[in-house]
Amino acid sequence: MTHEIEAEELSAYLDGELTPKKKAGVDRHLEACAECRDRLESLRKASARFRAEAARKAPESLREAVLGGAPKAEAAPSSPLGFALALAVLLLVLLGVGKLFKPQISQVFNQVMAMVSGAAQSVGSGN
Amino acid sequence: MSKLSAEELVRLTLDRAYTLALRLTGNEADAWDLTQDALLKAISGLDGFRDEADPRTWVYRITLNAWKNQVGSRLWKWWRRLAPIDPASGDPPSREDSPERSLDAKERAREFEAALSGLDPEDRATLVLRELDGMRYADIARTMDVPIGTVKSRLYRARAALARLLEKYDDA
Repeated sequence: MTHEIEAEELSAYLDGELTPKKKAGVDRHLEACAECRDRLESLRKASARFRAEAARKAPESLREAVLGGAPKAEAAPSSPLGFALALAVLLLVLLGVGKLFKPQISQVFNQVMAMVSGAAQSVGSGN
Repeated sequence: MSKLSAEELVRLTLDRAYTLALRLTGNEADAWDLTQDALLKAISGLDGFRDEADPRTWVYRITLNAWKNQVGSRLWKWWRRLAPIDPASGDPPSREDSPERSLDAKERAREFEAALSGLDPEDRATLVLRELDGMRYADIARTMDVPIGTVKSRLYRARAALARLLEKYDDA
């Protein structure tokens, strides 16, 4: 059979968001259309399932972080001193690696620059 | 000026803001960060909050804006896909976590989360505002800053997709 109502109207019907005139139209159609009654029932079930299962309680750590204005515990370093030490070690390692491989690094840097320059030239010449 | 304290604001809005954030981001770590950002912004703006307004709607709006700012990041989108919601890690507030919770219930929760992950984040968020808060379409439209027609389409699309996906799991 032809459906005189839009599919979205079934969902709005469920929410009581139709004008009295449109609601009366949907009521009339539902009386005659088993397919739309099934669709309405299926939308109703999906709504009920969402209402029953979608809500979550916030973790206690989040409540404490919000009220304390603190950063996320899991992501934060254990202490400012620990963080400073970790940063210092990382910098030393980077400096050591840089010193050790200085010739190779500058060679790679030159090669990359040459490639970039070549690409720029070919773009500029339209090739 | 507002007479609402930070503690009162958190008591009234935290769980629902977290649920909205979880349904927007699709994973717990991002929901944690998003809710914290939103609530801290809300607390710092408490002086400008009018007592006649609904604090939950106000926090929702802040959460949605914070999320819109986050989704601009491609890296964030990539990360979101890597860390889906663990259905066993959280329960609806009405349920107590107990050893008696049946395998069927866990399987059902897993199916539900899998089905939800197939929906657009905006559609899931619209469902939160309608189904969990019972907001009228006009109020959802104002909160989400979209036309009422968009609210209507999103709700239909979300329910139809959720129904389809849940039926698929039921048949499997």
